[in-house]
Amino acid sequence: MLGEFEYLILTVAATLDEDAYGAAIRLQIEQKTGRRCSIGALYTTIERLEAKGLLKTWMGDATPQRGGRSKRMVRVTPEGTRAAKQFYEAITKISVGAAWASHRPGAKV
Amino acid sequence: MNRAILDLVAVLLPPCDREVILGDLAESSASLVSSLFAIIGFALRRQMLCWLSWQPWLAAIGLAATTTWLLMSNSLDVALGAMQWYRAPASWHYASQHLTDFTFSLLRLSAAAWSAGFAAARISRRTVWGSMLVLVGPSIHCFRLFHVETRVGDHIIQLSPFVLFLYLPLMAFGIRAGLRRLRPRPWPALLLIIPYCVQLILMTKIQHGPTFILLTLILLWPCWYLVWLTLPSIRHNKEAYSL
Repeated sequence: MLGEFEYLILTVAATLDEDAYGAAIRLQIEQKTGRRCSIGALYTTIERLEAKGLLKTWMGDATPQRGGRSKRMVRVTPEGTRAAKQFYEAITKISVGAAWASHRPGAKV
Repeated sequence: MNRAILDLVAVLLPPCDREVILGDLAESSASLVSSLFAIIGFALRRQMLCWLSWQPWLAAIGLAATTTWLLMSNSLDVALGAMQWYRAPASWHYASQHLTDFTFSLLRLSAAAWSAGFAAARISRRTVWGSMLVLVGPSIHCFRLFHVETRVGDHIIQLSPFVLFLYLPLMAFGIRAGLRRLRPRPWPALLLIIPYCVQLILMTKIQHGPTFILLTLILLWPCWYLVWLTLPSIRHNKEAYSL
């Protein structure tokens, strides 16, 4: 089972698709969750996910915006997609009936 | 200026991470202070994660608790040997004897220090500097208490406590080889242990019992580790390098 932060990274990486790399993932997580995401937490989690075979990373192109330095590109593997889907389904099922999830379609009132 | 400071601090990170982290910080236009916190925080987090496995503990505690005492003893032997050889009364008989003692003690120190550095870097390369800090701890403790005098001819000479750290330069070569993942060959690895074996044979005849020999063999674990790395089954699985 994934951890919460692992799920966030997998989801954002899948959403960004071809444009998924460290800084972009970090920005998306901060904007969508309203929480600060440290570079250390991001990259150590990306490494852990890669070690589990849920992500694949490689060095991308350097851009002038980055001071001529390379990006670390990220892609979700099929195993990563499966793990994220399992996590999402588990969270959705377990949330049914909870007060904060009662407005969701299909939830018991 | 800011970039120079960040480049300097980023040396804490491995080269591949350095490139990515500095690029991300430049892209997000982070301030100097927050960039420094991000780099140092990342480096600390990486170090802490490394210490969750058993290898760094083996490299650090195994070396600090065992080999460091042997290294300090050898460093002291080298200093005393050099002092005797350099300051002894001019006599060909004594000079050659002192020179032999000094050479053997230097060989023993080289073998133990090189193999200890190599083993520490090889077992856990990411935490090698942490291992070195743990290893130097007992030496610093002994440095504070150090008081050794030796009689040379008619003079009594007090040794400098810095002699306890004579092993450090030799160990640096071992660390360098370990970080470069050099693979030792059987004969050079055995040559590292031979000076100790000669010493053990000589000491058995003089005063030390089997306990001493067993203890020294245990303290020599980095040398045995080196020999183990040269075994055909281990060598077969990995790329072979020369020592």
